[in-house]
Formats: sequence, structure tokens, C-alpha cells
Amino acid sequence: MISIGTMIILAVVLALITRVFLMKHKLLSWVLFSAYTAFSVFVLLKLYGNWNYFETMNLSYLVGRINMRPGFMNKPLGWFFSFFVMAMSFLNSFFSMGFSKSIHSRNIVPHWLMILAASLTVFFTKDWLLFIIGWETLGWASFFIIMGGKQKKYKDSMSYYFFSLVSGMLLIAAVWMIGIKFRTLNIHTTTRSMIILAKNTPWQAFPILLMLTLSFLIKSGAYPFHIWAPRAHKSAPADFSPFISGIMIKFGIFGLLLYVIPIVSKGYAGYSIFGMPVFAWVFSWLGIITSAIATVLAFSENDAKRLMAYSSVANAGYIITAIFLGTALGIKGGLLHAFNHMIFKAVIFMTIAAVVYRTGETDMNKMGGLAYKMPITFMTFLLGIIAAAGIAPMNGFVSKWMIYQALLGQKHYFMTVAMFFASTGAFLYLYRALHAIFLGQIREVHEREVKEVPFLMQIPMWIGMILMFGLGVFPGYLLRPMMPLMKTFGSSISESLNVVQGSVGSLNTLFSTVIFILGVVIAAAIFFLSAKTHKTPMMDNYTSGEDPEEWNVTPNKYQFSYGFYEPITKMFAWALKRSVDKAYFKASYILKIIGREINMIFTDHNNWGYAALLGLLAMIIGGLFL
Amino acid sequence: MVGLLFIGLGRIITARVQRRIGPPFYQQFIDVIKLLARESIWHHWIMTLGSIMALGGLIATMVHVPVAGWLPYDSGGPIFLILYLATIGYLGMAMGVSASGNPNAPLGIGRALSLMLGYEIPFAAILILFISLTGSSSLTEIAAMQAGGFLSWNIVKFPLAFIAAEITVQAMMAEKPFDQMIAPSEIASGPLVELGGKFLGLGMIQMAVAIYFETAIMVNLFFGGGANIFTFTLKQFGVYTIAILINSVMPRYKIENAVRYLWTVPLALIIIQMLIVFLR
Amino acid sequence: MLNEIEQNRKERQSAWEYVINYFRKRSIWLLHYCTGCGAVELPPVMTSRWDLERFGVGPMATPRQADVFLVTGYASIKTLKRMIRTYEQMPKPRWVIGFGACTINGGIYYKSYNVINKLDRYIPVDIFISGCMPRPEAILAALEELRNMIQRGEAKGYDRYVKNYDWYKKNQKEILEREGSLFGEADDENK
Ligand code: SF4
Repeated sequence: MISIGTMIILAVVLALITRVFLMKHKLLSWVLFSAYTAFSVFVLLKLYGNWNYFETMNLSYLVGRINMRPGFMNKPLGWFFSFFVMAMSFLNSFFSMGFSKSIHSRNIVPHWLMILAASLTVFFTKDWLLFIIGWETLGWASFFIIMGGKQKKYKDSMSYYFFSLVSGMLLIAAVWMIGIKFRTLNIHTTTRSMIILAKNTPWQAFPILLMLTLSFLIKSGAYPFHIWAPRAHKSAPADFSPFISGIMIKFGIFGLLLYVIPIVSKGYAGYSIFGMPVFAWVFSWLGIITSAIATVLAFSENDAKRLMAYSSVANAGYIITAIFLGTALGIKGGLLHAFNHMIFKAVIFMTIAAVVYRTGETDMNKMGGLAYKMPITFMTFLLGIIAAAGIAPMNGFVSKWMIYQALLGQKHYFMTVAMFFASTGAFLYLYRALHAIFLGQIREVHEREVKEVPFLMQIPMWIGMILMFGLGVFPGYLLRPMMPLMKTFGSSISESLNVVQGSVGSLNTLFSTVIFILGVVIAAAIFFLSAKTHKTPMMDNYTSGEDPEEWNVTPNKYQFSYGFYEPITKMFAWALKRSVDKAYFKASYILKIIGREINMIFTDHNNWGYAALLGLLAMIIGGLFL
Repeated sequence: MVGLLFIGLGRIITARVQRRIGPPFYQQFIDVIKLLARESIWHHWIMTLGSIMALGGLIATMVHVPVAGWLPYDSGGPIFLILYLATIGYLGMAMGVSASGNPNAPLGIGRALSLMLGYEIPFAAILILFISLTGSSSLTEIAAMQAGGFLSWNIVKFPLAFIAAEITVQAMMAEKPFDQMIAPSEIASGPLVELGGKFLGLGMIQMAVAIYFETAIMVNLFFGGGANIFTFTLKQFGVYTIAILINSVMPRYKIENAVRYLWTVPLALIIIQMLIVFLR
Repeated sequence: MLNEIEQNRKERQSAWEYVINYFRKRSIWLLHYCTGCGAVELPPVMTSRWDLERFGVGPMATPRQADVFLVTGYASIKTLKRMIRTYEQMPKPRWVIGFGACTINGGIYYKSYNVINKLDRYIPVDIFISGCMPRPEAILAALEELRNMIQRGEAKGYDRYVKNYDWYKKNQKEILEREGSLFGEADDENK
């Protein structure tokens, strides 16, 4: 059997090869990438069920006064996340193979391989040190992909990098405190010690937990750290956005589930509110606030990728809420939603990438009617937004339903109402995207030039559609393998294929889908049995009798997209005025001034990175003296 | 069917309020048959897909709402499923009319969705009140809880919640003062602007189905379900009559005012009701 | 005699059509194109005094939804163009009611420089209502007649439009792409 360590090293070696030798052969390097991900999916599938598997490196060294023997172990949580990382990358590689023919940076494959190596490290590592190394690698490798060596993307990608740096620093600080306290950096032994510590002296455990939580929340784009998400998505290459949205945001969720949730739910002894630790309660609310705010922000968004990024943030919000509830149902709902979100959001971003591939646009006001030219992309997007809005019978509904049940089971009624708001809002902005990109009038340029994406790029879309629908009808296919994972969170319900149990009800997805299909059949029967139809061109529309051409109204002008939800946006104007972006902008301005002053000594350049580096240095020095 | 009958009767009621005689009660059936038999104009196959998806979703929703405690299969009237299945109907409708290419249609849909954002929140609050009282999200059980005569109906026990629910249902059915989405004189009947022939016929059936299950939800929530299908339908008609009476004498809100209204008055009512319930 | 009528009916429409026509006549949706002054007579017809909705007749917002195109009064050249576009957007079967003397022969605008005289030359009118302006009773009578025509399968204006499409187009073109005013030509046109 091939060990996890080998897989990681293989990824790094492949990254080097593609970086050094295969810069000119983009297609070849994508094929290599695809082969690697397929291979690792295979290896991981073999590892499934082998939960006692572990490996240690023949290597030991001292960190401070701690003796380290790095190694990896196979835990259900890590297994699931890495499986999805690999599987989604595998799907994505087909897409990128087709995509990379157009203008596309050559650096993506090596960096992406580095990300894969780093994520394997993070998911399987036994100790905090490798975790940190992996975490940092993730940060910079994805930074390079997002920036893609383009100067104009510098600012947006820098804001992403800044947040990853802060996240990394918080992580380092927390780990350092853990190391000081327990004299070991093993993740699993420190979890047990932390539970005891949190029980006995909550105030000692509190700062560590807080720092870790913040570090992970930054990665998952929770409020008020959400501002990196739309920027990073916007400037990332179109075929990398699925990965950021599907996977990168989930790293934070993984971290929370790995360390924070078990400690908070098992060992917390502080005050509690509504039968829930204050700590968890606050972050639960933070999750729901995140989704509400992201929803409101998405209403007035005109860029397709930024809109979907906000949607991802909102979904991350639900997941955070659900997992901080700490109940088995909540964690199950949150995890299921995390995995479902990986699938549907990756698919949605792929369709957007397909649109970018054909039109070169992400501004929704400059699109419209693309469905008439790209029907398969449209269908994929449609199923994707049905899932993303949590509408039955797609997979998003099942997990959202579970989160509702978890909230109601714990009697968090206000959170439920807030979640209703976010969920209905999701329907609003997703419909807007659907309309502005795919429906309405098609532009003349697009009418002439756009056609469906090549078959290679359609493969992942088809697979995505099948997955979304299949998991919506039979959530058991995902929930059953998840049973060992749920066992680690103290739930031992055996799952049936199509019935989901909640706290205040149960859901039979198969029956409801069958009834839906029957309804569609009845409707179709009515439709096709009645009189014949007659097709007219798109511009033959009711215009109060006027001829659009006489008024110089072209299809470009006959599309309603700009200011779509203006009334609603107006209602929230007071909130949008005081946005966090502005606060950050001010902070960054002040930081820049300080940074300039300091950097004047060394160099003429100034940026956030230097400021952050100086901060890091200061912390390390401070740590040494303490 | 019953929904169509309701609309037909509703037209008579409106007429009577406006001191007219009004059409025969089977007028809606005539209209729908006429529309289905008519030639229809379409712009793209997505319109067809949207219409079918909409009606399919709404029929599926209707099937899940218990009628006098009866359900085709043992789903128990799962309220979340009902809400989200209805949404796929609305999505289908929205998609279909968007594909017609007329800007009035998405304009109307945008209004409808904004309104949806408005009414879902008080409605969710009402549902949560009942879920917290029964400990179950099944409409059957909520209806069963009210068994035993007039005085145990929720309308008597929670009058404030009923008023709030009535307002939200008014918005759900897009009756005045919440009919911004179809405003015929403003945006040329909004989503329906390009629908003719059987598209419109299907649209009318959709509306009828929607009215049917919305009133059915109300009856289950507030009027204790019903012993048999006749009393149930009678109660449904009662709910619909209230809506129609309000509809026939009301002007129309601006959309943001409507949303703001829905977020203040009904929500405040329901919160007061919740406080009364939980503090007692 | 009765056989003859039956014979005629069978020639015009099949039994299925007959049934459908029953539904069509019971549900007539109007699109009123209020070009002229006659339109003021419509509100009383709609509201409580004469209550048109009794017969299943109601106003509609767009041509796609409507069955009957109600041209209320004179049609200037400018509006004619819109009328033709609207008429062509209506799905079949569609009917046109010419409302008032102006649509029949120009009425008091007989010699106007920019008003057409005979609506029937441009779009196929099924039934005219004379009067300037017609009383609500006349409107009701016309609708009654139209309903009978629909039932008998005689109201086939839309077929006439398809059959004589070239002729209608030619007339429309003549008037829409003319140069100069109509004044003085009106005599010729009515010959
Ligand atoms: S017929 Fe008489 S009332 Fe009608 S439009 Fe002509 S002038 Fe006016």
C-alpha cells in the first residue's frame, strides 16, 4: 500500500517537474495532474475503513524542548475532506484541460499540486507542526494561483494573502501556547488535554480556543473576514474558482471540526445560554449573521463570480452555525452541507468558468440569453442554483433541512428565522444570476459567436448534475459512508438510503422526488395534450405596440439586469453604508502609513506583506522572550 | 379544480363588493379550457420547461399538504418540504417567463421575489411558534393538536398570530395590497406579459393550485384541519373569502413599502403572540 | 331548412371545434386599443351598471393574452402602425371589433389629413359597431353578435388575414410609406 507520505512527496515532485520541465506543455501537465488526482482518489478509497492506519516518519527532531516525530494517521474526518479535495480536483482537471487552451497562466498546475500536497498534510497529520506548514503552504500556493502573475490583480490577491497570513499567525500563536502548556504537539493527545483543561480552568483554555476559532473562521470567510472571498474569487482564474469556493473555504470548517468543536461541546464549563455554551452560541450567531450579511451584499452584486462568492460565504455561515450547535444532528447537517456545497458550488463555478471561456465576461450586466446558445451549461447552472438555494429535490435541500431541524431541536427560534431570511435571499440573488447570465435577451455579439463548451469541459458538468440530483434523492449514499465519521462525534444512528431523521420530523426524499416527478408528468401531459404552439423570435415582444427597432432598441438594451433588486437594496442602504469594507480600508490606510514609515528605512516599496511580516517577527521575538 | 372554483367564486365576491353581478362560478374552467385550446406563442423551449416545472412543483407541494388529515403517503405534511417544494414551482415560473425576453417579466419576478423575502420571515415565525408548541414540523400533528371543538382552534387561542398569518397569506397569494408582481397597468401584468394560450392556461392552473394549498395550510394551522373533506373545503373557502374581501377594497403598495410592512406589523404581532405564549 | 344549417355548420367546423368554440365564446378577453374618444363608453360597460364580466368578458394587459382587439375609434397613421404590430402579436384565434363610425368610414374625420378611413383595409375586422359614439347597449349587442358568430364558426377574420396577406400588406405599405398628407386623396381611396 502506498503511504500518505509518499502521496505528498509525489505531489511535490510532480509540482517540481511541471514547474521546471513542462512549462511549455500545458495540456500534458494537466493530464499529469488528472492522473495524480485519479490515483490519489484510488489510494484513498483503499484507505477507507482502515481507521487505525498510521505512519510515522523515520525522523525525529526537537522543536524547542519538544521531541517531534512527525507522522500521519487516517481519521474519518481527514479522510472525507481529502477525498473530496481529490475528487473535486479530478473533476476540475477535465474542465481545466479544455480551459487551458485559452489565455491561462502556466503556473496553475504546479501550485495546485502544491495545494494538494499541503491539504493532504493538513488533513492527515498527527501533529501541529506539519499542520502549520501545510496551512501556510496552502496560503501562498493559492495566492500565486489567484494572482497569476498579473499586476492588476495584485491588490485583490494581496487582501486574500493578508487574511491567510493573519490566519496563519493566529494558528501559530495558538499552537505555540498549546506547546508551552502540554509539552507536546500531537493533535489528538492535546485534544484530550484541552478538554480537561477547559473543564477545570476554562479561562486558560479560552484564549487558545478563541485564537484557533478565529484563525479557522478567517479561512472560511466568516463575518467580518468575509471580504477576501469575493475578491479572491474575482481575480482567481475562472477554473480555479470552483476549487476556492468548494474546497478552500472548507479548510476552516475542517479545522473547527478537528479541534474546536470537540473541545467546546465536550469540555466547556463556562456560562451557558439557551442550553449551549456561550462560546459556541456566539459563534453560531456569527455564522448566521455571516450568511445574512453575505445575502444582503449579494443582492446588489453585478459580478457573477463575486455574487457566487457571497453565496459561498453565506453557505459557510450555515455550516458554521450548524457545527457550533454541537449536537450530533447539527454536526451531521453541517458536514453534509459542507460536502454538498463542495459539489454544487464547484459545479456552479464551472458553469461560470464556461461562460467566461466563451464570452470572456464576468459582469452580469454585459451578458444575457446565453442559455439559448449553451443549453447544457444552462441546465447545469439551473440544477446548481436549485441545490444552492436549498430547494427540493436537490442535495442542498437535504442538508439545509437537517440544519433547520438541528436549530429547531435546540430551540434556537431566532436563528431559524434568520436562516429563513438568508435562505430566501439566496433564492433571490441566484435567480438574478440565472436571469442576467442565461435568460432574457441575448446580445448580438454572443448570438453570433457563442456556442456550447467542448465535450471535455462538459464531462464534469454532467457528473455534477448526476451527483446533485442523486444525492438529493438518495442522501443515504453520502450519509452511510459518513457513519464512521459521525461516530467520532457521538452519533451512532444507522442511516437509511432515502429517509432522513430530524429532531422534529423526518424527510423521505425518494417519495417527495417521485411525487415531484409525477407532478411534472401531469403538467407535461396537460401541456402537450393541448393545442399547438408557434415560435417567434426573441425580440417579438410586447412593447406597447412600438417597434423596438424604430427606437434603436437592440437586444443589448432590451435586457433587464441593472439594478435588479433596487427596492431591496434601498431598504438596506443604511447597513451597506457602514460596511466592513470601509473599516478595513481605513485600517489598511493607517497600516500603509505605518508600513511606509518603517519601510522607508529599508526600501522604497511598501505593502501589506511587509507589515504582516514585521508583525510576525515581532510576535516571534515576543514569544522567545516570554 | 377546487382552486379554480375558488377563483371563480372569488370573482363573484369581488363583483358583489363592487356592486356587480359577476361571472358564473364556472367561468375559470371555461377560461382555462379556452386557453389550453388556443394557439400559443413561445420564444424558447425554456419557457415550456419552466411552465411544466412550475406546475409540477406546485402539484407536488399540494400533494404534501394534508387535506382533512388525509395524505397520499405517510409524510405527515412536512412543512419545510412544502415550503421548499413550492419554491421550485416559483423558480420554474420565474425561469419560464425570463426566457420570453420581455423585461417586464423579470421586473415582475424581481418584485415577487422581494415580496417573498418579505412574507417568508413572518410566516417562518408563525410556523416556529407552532412547531415549538407541538414539537413537530408536521402539519397533520399541528392540525390534530387542535382537535375538540371550536375553542381549541388556534385562531381562538392565538388571535394575534392569526392576524399576522392572514396578512402573510395575503402576500403569498399576491392579492392586493400585495399584488405588485402582476400590476397590469404598471408593468403589463409582469410575469404573465408574454404568456398566451396554454402557457397562460398553465399559469392559471398554477395560481389555482397555489391558492388551494395556501388556504389548506392556513386551515391546518388555524382552523383545526377538518373532520371531512367538505368541512375542510368550507374552511378553506372561508380563508379565501377573507383574502378576497381585503383584495377588493385595497390599493397597491410600493414594493419596498410592502416588504417593510411585512417585516414590521405581522412580525411584531407574532412576536407579541410568542411572548404571550412563552411567558404564560 | 334545419338540415341545411347543420350542413353549413359542418362545412365550417368540426364537432370538436364546435365544443371549443363554445368555450371561446364564453370567455372573451379584450385588449382595448383606446385610440379615439369612443373609449369613454367602455368604463360604464365594465363597471356595475352593465357589468361585462357576466359574459366572461374582461380586460387584459397584453396582446398575448387577449382574444379580441377592440379598436375604439379613429386610427391615425401613427397608431395604425402600432395596431398592426399588436394585431400580429396576438395568438390565434383573434378577432377585431371596430368601434364607432370612425373605423367604418372615417366618421367625422372623413377628410382628415392623417386618419385612415377604412380599418378593414388594414386589419380584418370581424364586426363593426356603428354610432358616434356607440351606446353601451350597442357594445353589448355587438359582443352578443360576435359570440354568436364565434359559435357558428363565422368569425374567421384571422383566416382572411392569412389568405389575403399580400393584399393587407400592400394596403398597409401604401399608407405607412406614403409621402405627403392624405388630404385630398381620401376621395379616391373610398371609391
Ligand atoms: S366614431 Fe365618433 S366617438 Fe368614435 S372615435 Fe370617431 S369621432 Fe370619436
